[in-house]
Formats: sequence, C-alpha cells, structure tokens
Amino acid sequence: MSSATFPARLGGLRHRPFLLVGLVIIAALVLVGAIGPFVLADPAARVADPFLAPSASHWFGTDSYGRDIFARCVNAIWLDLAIGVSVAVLAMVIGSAIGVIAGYLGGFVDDVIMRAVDILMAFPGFVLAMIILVSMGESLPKLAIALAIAQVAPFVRLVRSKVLSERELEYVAAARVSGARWPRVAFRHLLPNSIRPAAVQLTLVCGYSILNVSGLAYLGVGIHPPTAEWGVMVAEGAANMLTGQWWTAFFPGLLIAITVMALHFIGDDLGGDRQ
Amino acid sequence: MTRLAVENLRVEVPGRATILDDVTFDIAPGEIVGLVGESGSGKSMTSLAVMGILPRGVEQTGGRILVDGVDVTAVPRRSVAHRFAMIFQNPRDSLNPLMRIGEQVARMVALHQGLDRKAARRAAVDLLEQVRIVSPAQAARKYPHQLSGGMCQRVMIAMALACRPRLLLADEPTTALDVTVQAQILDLVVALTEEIECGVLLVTHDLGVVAETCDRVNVLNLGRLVESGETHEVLGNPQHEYTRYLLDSARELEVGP
Amino acid sequence: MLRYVLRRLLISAVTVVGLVVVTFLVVRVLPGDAAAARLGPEASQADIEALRAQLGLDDSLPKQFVDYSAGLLHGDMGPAVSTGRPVSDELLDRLPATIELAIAGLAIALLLGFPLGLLAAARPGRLSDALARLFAVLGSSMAPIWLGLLLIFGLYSTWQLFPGPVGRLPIGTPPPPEVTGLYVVDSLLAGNLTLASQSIQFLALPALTLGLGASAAVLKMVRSAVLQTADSGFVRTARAYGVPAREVLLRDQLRNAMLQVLTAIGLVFGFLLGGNIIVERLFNWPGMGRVAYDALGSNDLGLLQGYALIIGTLYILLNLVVDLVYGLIDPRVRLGGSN
Repeated sequence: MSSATFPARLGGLRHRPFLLVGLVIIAALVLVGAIGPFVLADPAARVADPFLAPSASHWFGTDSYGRDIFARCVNAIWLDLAIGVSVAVLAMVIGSAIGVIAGYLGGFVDDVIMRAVDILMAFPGFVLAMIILVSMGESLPKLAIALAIAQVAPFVRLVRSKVLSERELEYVAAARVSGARWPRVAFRHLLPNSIRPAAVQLTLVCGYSILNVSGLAYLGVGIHPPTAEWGVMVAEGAANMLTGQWWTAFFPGLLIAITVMALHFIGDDLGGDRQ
Repeated sequence: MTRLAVENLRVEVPGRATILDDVTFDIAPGEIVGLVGESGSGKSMTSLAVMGILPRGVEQTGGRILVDGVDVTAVPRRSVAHRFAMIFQNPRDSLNPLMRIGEQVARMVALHQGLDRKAARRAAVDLLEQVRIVSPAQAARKYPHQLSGGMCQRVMIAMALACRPRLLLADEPTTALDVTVQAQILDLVVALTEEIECGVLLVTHDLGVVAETCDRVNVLNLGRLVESGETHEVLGNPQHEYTRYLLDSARELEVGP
Repeated sequence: MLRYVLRRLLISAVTVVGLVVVTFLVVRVLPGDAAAARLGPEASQADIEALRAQLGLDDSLPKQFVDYSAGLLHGDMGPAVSTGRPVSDELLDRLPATIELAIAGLAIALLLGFPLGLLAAARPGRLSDALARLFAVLGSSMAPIWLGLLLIFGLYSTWQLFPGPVGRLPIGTPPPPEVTGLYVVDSLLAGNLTLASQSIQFLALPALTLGLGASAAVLKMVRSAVLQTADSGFVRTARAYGVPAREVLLRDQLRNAMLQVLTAIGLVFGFLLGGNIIVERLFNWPGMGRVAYDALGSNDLGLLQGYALIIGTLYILLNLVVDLVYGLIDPRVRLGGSN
C-alpha cells in the first residue's frame, strides 16, 4: 500500500470516507477563513444590541458587547489553525530530531534521552504547558513553544523506534560505508524514512493544541480577550451559559469540536485505522 | 472413504490477486500427504482455506473441500470444527501465554468431548501422557514460557488429539525445532496417525521431512499444483522442472555450494 | 518477581527525582523573574530586590536546588507567596476533593470506554465498530470546558436534573465528619444517606465532564490492544479449534491485551488529573486544581510548582501500581525463568 503512487491514493478516497470527510471539512474551513474577513463585519466592532439570539441577520447571535459571533468565529479560523499547525510542526521537528539522535547513536545518549522523555510524560501535557507558559511570560510564540514542548515526547518515541528498525537496513550501511558522517546519515537518510508515523501524530497534536489553547484561555493564560479566538470566546461566553445566552459559548466551541474531529478523521485514516 | 478431498480449490484477494488456482488432491484414512513449495507458493493458504480461517480480505472463490464426504464450505463452520485439528510452525506462539498447559488442553477436551471441568482436567493429563510428555501432571501446571519448543509442539498435538480429529493439518510443524526434536515430533505424528486413523496434511518446504514421513506428496508452485504422486516416485524421478529445481536446492543446502 | 519489583521501584524513584529537577528548572531557570511576575508591573525595583532576596532567588542555582530538595525531603515546599501558608498545606488539604473527582471520572471513563472498546474490537469493520469509533472521535474532539458548559446548560439550567456548579454540597451544608476526605465515602461511613446522595448528585456533572472525554481514550486503547492480539498465534489456534468467538475474545484476546489496557488506565488517570484544573474551576470544586487556578491569578509560581510536582508524583505512583498489578497477572513476569 505504501508504495502506491499519488494519483492512486487519491483515487482510493472514495473507499476512505473518514479521510474524505476530514479533508473536506478542513478545506472548507481554510476557504471560509480566507474569504470571510473581507465580507463579514469587523470582529471587534459593536454591530447590534448585546445578546441577540441567532437569527437571519446574525447567524450565531451577538455577544455581551453586541459583537457578531459569526464574524468573530470566522475571523478566528486562521488563527486557531495556525496555532495548531505551528505547535504540531514545532513539536515534530524538535521531537523527530531528538528521536533520530537517540535511535541512531543508541547507548548512553539513548538512555539519557529516553529517561528524560519518561519524565516529560509524567506531566499531563496541559499542566506542563501551563507551567512553562507562566514561567516564561506570555506571548503568542511562547504559547506555541510551551504547547510544543508538552507534545514533544510522543514524537521522540515514535521516530526513535522507527529509526531503531530502520538503521539496520542496507541503505544505511551503504551510506556509512561511503564515508558519510553520522549527522548526515541520521538526518539525510534515516529521518526521511522514519517520519511517516510522526505524520499521523502531527494531525492529532494539531487537534490537541487547539483544545489546549481553549483550556488555557479559560484559565486566563495564553491568548486573552478581546482577541477573536475560539477558546477565548468559549471562556468569555461561559458565564452566559447559566443566564440563558447559550449561543455565546456554543458556536465557537462547536467549531473547535468540528475542527478537531476532522483532524482526528484524517489522523486515524493515515494511521492505517481504516475499517 | 477419503478423509479430505480438495476439488478445484480457488482462493483470491478479490480484484487483486489469485492465490490458489484449481488445486485438487485427496487424503485417505491413516495417510500422511505432503504439500511442498517455496514460501509464497500458496501452501499455507491451502491449509488455512481447509480450516476455514483465511485472513481478512482473502476469499475462497471456487471449488469444494470435502471432509469425510461432507462439503465443509457449504455448512456452518462451527458444526464441522470438530473434524479438524491444526498444529503450527511456532508452537509456543500458538499457545496462550497466560493459561496453564493443562487448562488449555482441558478446554479443548471439554469443548469437543462434552466432559465437565474435572473430567476434562483428568483427560488432559492422559493426553499429555499420550504425546510422551514425562510427568504429565506436573507439566499440566506449567505455562508455555516454562516449556521448550518441542514440548510446546507436543502440547499442541495433545490439543489436536483432544478434538479426536478426522483430519490433522500440520503447517511447518518442525521448522522451528532442533533436528533431534524434529525427528521425535515426526515419529509421534506418524505413530498417532496410525493409531487414530486420521488423515494428515503436512505443509512444509523441507523435502527431507517429506521423504521421511509422507506417503504421497503434492508440489505447489505459484498457486498451482505442478506434480503429485507417491513420495518415492516424485522425489526419485521428478517429472516437472520445478520439482527438480526444489530437489537441487535441497541438495545444495546439504552438500554446501 | 522480586527483581521486577525492585527494577520498577528504582525506575519510579529516578523519574520522581527527574520530576523534581524539571519543575525546579522550569520555574527558576526559564526567562522570566518570579519576583517581578509576583509583584506585577507597578512594583518598584527595590520591592522586587527585597522579594528576590526573601525567596532566595539571588543564591547560586546549585545552592537553590539543594535548599529546595532538602526542603522537599521534609515535605516542605516553602511558603505560598500569595497566601502565606505552606504550599504543601494549601495543596494537600484539597487533595481528597481532587481524588474523589478523579476516581469518579475514571469510573465513568472505564464503565463507558471498556465495554464499547471491546464491542468495537469484537467485530472490526462492522456497524458497531464504526459507531463506537465515532463516539470516540466525538468524545476526544470536544473541549472539556465546552462539554462541561453543555452539560450544565442541559442537565442543570434546562432540565434541573442535577444541581448547579457550586461545589461538592449545597451551599451551607456541613460536610460529613472527615475520615477519608471523600464526601461520598465519609457520609456513608457516618450513616448519612441523604448526604451521600447529595454528594453523588454534586459529583455527577463534573465527573461526567471529565469521564466522557477520557472514555474516548479508553475506548480507542482497548480496541487497538484487543485487535492487536487478533493476529497472534494463540488466537488463531483457539479459532481453528472451534472455541466460541465470545470466549476467544474474553479469555484469550482481552486477557492478553491487559498490559496495554492497564497502561491505558494509567495514561487516562494522568489525563483526568491534567483536566481537573478546568473542571474544578467550572464547577467550583474545591480541589487542588482550584488552588492552582487561584495561583495562576496571583502569579504564585511556587504554588504552581508544588501543584505540578504533586500531580506528577501521583501519576508516577499510579503507573507503578499498574506495573506491579501487571506483574501479578502475567506468569512470565510472576514466575520468571523463561526456558
């Protein structure tokens, strides 16, 4: 299967409904997120009375300041996807590099790295990200770094175990015999061939990160109001749930759920979980 | 009556590949019939098809499989399961690592002979003795990881006997064992075959094993039977070029290049 | 078995030491000044200097670490800057509330996730499998805060089936006499059934919020662990010999999947501990997560450090217990001496 050519894989999409649904959802979000901000109301502007229920003129209703929730949700699409993707890519780059080194060098270096990974995994990722973020001080890049560090460990494990099986193969020996130094062998030859399992993890981490951002926002860490971001909007709307204005928190939370669900569909399929 | 008759068996991965094409052979009571070929020739798939446990995605698309004259592909598997037994290449992997040996044999006894728990336990110990395990009562209390590969294969044979099978399928039963243990296990299979009058299909790539144990042999290449007949005739005077090739490679292994 | 136990104990001890080092480094070494953070942007340089001295932040790093570790050995995590009480008291007082919530969440996660995962693995590719997996994806796609809000809105605001998010008991109700600190257990011990049923009602929604998300993780892990055993030799043997599918699933597949399932339970417990800070705030649950939330508000890094340390240690302890239980289940570990 893995040797199938690219067009053949796309042709198989019909038999992979979960992958298809996931890709369509993400594509639709990216598209709406690109066009929306030019067509819809300013996400920061007061456009109507506060707490209007969803209607034809305000699809998702208005919030406590009279801002249009649909416009805010659409404006947040690219921000949320960007955070998810950058955290996932960052964690994958760091984790894969460490995993390749551990797996290729083995011995003492491997022992130390894997012990460190165990310790890192002894923290729930969310708590670790929270502590790092509070210690470093807050900003968007630091938020991404903190979330990425919390997700590095699984990448290290995945890539390392793939490298361990891969390094015994002939092409690696050939590269070594031809006189390449170890960093070259590890990064030019081993890494590209070991990265497939990490790609699956990538989509999942992308989803976790969007969830974690919303959790942190609710605790007042990371991204703050008045930024239009789904997690921040859920946090802002939380208080209105008890007073009946359910739409303020419901729609941004729904978008989080749909996005993360789509990412799960894609990840599960790529991970070979296809029945 | 034949114990096993395979008629025009066809097995495919639908839309992808043909694994077995028009395979026909039979086995008489008390007879051991070999099925030889290289890996990928389809010999293991043949035994899985007879057993009705083809892997997911692989399907029997033609032919009949008769055991004692009953077409086992036409009736529910559960109703004919008691006619078969099967032993495999890796005896230790074939046993549940978390269950005691005695219990695993007793479970098959209870299932196929309808005995209660206690009687099944006693019968299991008798079976262990029958496959020449020393101090069977003690062995019954052990876990697979505490036994050698040869011992595990004896346990597998005891489980097979518990089913009182009409047909025993042995898929590379000695490949993973030492040479001396190999001979013991094969002797045991030969002796028990005569004793209970079952038919044996011995799937192997090892022509030495075939020469020692099989009455007749079928040679399989790329999913098709290329030669069948009495063992001494086929091995002594091979007609098909593939059989000669197999014999040559076997000799090379023995003598060395 | 003895060697196995000792090895596990040693590994856990090393991990706990590593945990201490990491929490120390994260808080003291990362860019950012604990004293400045604590006092806020308006603080004068002199005030910051004074607080730095008081917290021992001017000492060399190794000395700080030695002081910190020596304190930990006596159960001393230093004073909480925001309240003046010892960090250990602040947190350990609230431990039972957090444990009660985590246990209830774990129970829900297991009761839902375990049978559904087994059902999915019993007939892979069938409708039951697809539905179970859909449930798993939905469960793990919802932000805990959002799920909690939906539950509050539906089951409290709209239908009044459960009490509102005001903590562990109705406001003004005295708690049961403390034995374990778990209200449900303590009120039963005191023979007070009304109080016990109230405790359960107040526990229900926060536990459901935690448990639903976690059940998705349990489901996935049980399913994949059981499916992995489907290709093994002993399952093939059992099937070939006509053992009924149900018995193969429960006696062969599930038992052999137990190591992974147990490990999964350890992971899920970590997930529950990590998620509790959000749920405890949402439901005003007076546990450690609530303390950590307040510490976030007042920038009390020492208190947060203590929180992370206790959560991490609990997680390591639970995984140790999981490993030991597995050692008891698997004869290869229990009896050793593979032949």
